[in-house]
Amino acid sequence: MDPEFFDRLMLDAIAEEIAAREFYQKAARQVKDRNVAALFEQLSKDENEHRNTLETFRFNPLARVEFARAQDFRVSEQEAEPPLSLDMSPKEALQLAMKKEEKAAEMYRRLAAGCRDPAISRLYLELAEMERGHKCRLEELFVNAAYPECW
Amino acid sequence: MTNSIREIEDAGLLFVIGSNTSEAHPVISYYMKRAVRKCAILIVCDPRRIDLVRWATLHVQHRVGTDVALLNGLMHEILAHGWEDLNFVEDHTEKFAELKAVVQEYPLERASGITGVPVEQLREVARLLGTHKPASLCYTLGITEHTCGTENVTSCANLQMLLGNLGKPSAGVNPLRGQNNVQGACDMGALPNVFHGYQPAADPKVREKFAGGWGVPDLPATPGRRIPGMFAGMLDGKTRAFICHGENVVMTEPNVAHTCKCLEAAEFVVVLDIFENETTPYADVIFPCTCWSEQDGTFTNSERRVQRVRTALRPPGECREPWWIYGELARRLGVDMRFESARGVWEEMRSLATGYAGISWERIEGDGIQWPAPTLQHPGTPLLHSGGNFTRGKGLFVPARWRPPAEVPDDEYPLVLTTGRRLWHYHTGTQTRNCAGFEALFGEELAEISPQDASDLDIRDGDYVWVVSRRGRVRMRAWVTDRSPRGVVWSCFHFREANINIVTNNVFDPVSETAEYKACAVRIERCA
Repeated sequence: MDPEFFDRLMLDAIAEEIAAREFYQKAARQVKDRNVAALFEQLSKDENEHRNTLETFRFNPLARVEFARAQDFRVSEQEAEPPLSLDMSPKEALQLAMKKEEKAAEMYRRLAAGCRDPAISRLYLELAEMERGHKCRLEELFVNAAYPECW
Repeated sequence: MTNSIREIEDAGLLFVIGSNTSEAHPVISYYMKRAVRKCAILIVCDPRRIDLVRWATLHVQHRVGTDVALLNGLMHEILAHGWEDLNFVEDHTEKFAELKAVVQEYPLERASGITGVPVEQLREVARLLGTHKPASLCYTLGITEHTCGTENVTSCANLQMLLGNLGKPSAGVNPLRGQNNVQGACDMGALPNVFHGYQPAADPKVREKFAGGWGVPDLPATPGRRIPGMFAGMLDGKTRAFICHGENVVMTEPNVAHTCKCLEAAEFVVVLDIFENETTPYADVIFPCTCWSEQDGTFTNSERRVQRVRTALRPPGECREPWWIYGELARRLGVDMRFESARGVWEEMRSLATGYAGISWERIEGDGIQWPAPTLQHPGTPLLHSGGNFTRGKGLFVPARWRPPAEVPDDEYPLVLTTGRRLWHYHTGTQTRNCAGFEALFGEELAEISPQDASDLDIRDGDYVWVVSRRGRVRMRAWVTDRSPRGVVWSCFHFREANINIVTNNVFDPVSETAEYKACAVRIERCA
């Protein structure tokens, strides 16, 4: 793969992570519930971690970009995306976050499908795997939060 | 349960409080005994010397109704030694300062004074709790059947959060449910304020979803009543019709005279049951139901595991499966709720509750699945709150102060009565007392009283006595046994000839409205 193209591609991916981080930072300032704000702050930190991971790859072009395959229970795919609102519950915040990761993974998969260069396609698929991993982690948090035995 | 039954055997410490596990949950007690064989510490907190004590490292014999003081005293000592899991507390909980402030009011000497447990033993229990991980806390109705039942439960949760024993294997707060399918009944919305899956009826979006799913124009937003409110309503006309399904309320409710008075005043009573029992004489209509071996469906056990129940026998006579009866009732009330099978009911149920969406009939053919399982790919959730993640984000400490039971001993009624279950019988005996084998094993109710009290009252083992309270009196034989400590009488409600609920107190926890079956004041009289 052309090094310049690789760099541009990684910069785009990093920009996505920065945008996500900023979204969560803003969301943390907007919501009323302290727990939801704390959750969004944590998610913004997570996005920063993702950015750091991508930068590591960007500055080591010889390293093989590869992410662990998460077991995908497709929980997010069953859920609707709630709008960002002042009164969000932790459950809705997690729902929103996992939907964002699901969409990010889908975006990379679409980019991979549109590529002729197998190397670029593979890279996009790896980025899709990275986002899928994030989605699955959030799904686990969601399952722990979304079904309380509360009456 | 936050955790699973099988995890119990790998706990480093088991803290069992208000649970006569080996009699009420013999299968679960087997895992506790396995844990002990694997060198787990077993601490049994119970006013009585129950059978499980034989396997216990320590038996904490606190006074009836002093659980909050006991747990606060233990937390006081844990904090004094820095045995709390500060990382867990800081990262995953809220209101720690508030908990600390209340717990500070319970130094060991005060806790000991309230509970009757020696200071040295409290200190040792706190040390064991603070130094053995993972610790699983199991409780049963000895915690909930008090007027302070809610505070008892929150105190159990406080202790486990303080020690960081949540969201980890072989830890957790584990209520062992009272019946084979009480978990399933609650999960399926047999509560006055939620639809199935604990979806609140007060939420307009939830009501809209269910109205759409059930094909009705709207659904009521106002919560219904719990049992005390239902019965009170029979007296003042607010409860006009009462459907009683598989619950022999004349035997199960505290203060039988009050229950009968309510049922006599009731305008219309329908009973669904497998045999005629003490409640059916009050019924205007009786629907004969299939029993467990005659029906198809699911049960959900304490660890949230949904399991299949299969028809083994043809139902006798005109017995019908309950889902069929309710479907026909609904049809006559103008709602087409006909199903072809129990599976049809299940399919409709899971289409309206995402936590069960992944629990298909095919997937529970084997060992069942523990909810939540929101998709068909999801394996179920054996461990809830993994990593310390809670529904509200962080776990909330809800500190509680001890208060005595609603009725305490006095000169007229100097003993404490506490009630429970026996190994050989189930609930009001509608099933087990129709089984000759169980009758042969244990065929008569007994009042368990301590040798000291028996001596004071000149009562010998096997004598007939009256157990007398402000609500009434019940005659049964005395069992003089050191299972009961001095000042405590114990009995249960399996036998119609000697139903202890004639004397129990119809006072309730203000939140859960669970009755105080575990504490009331009585006296023992020798029968002439």
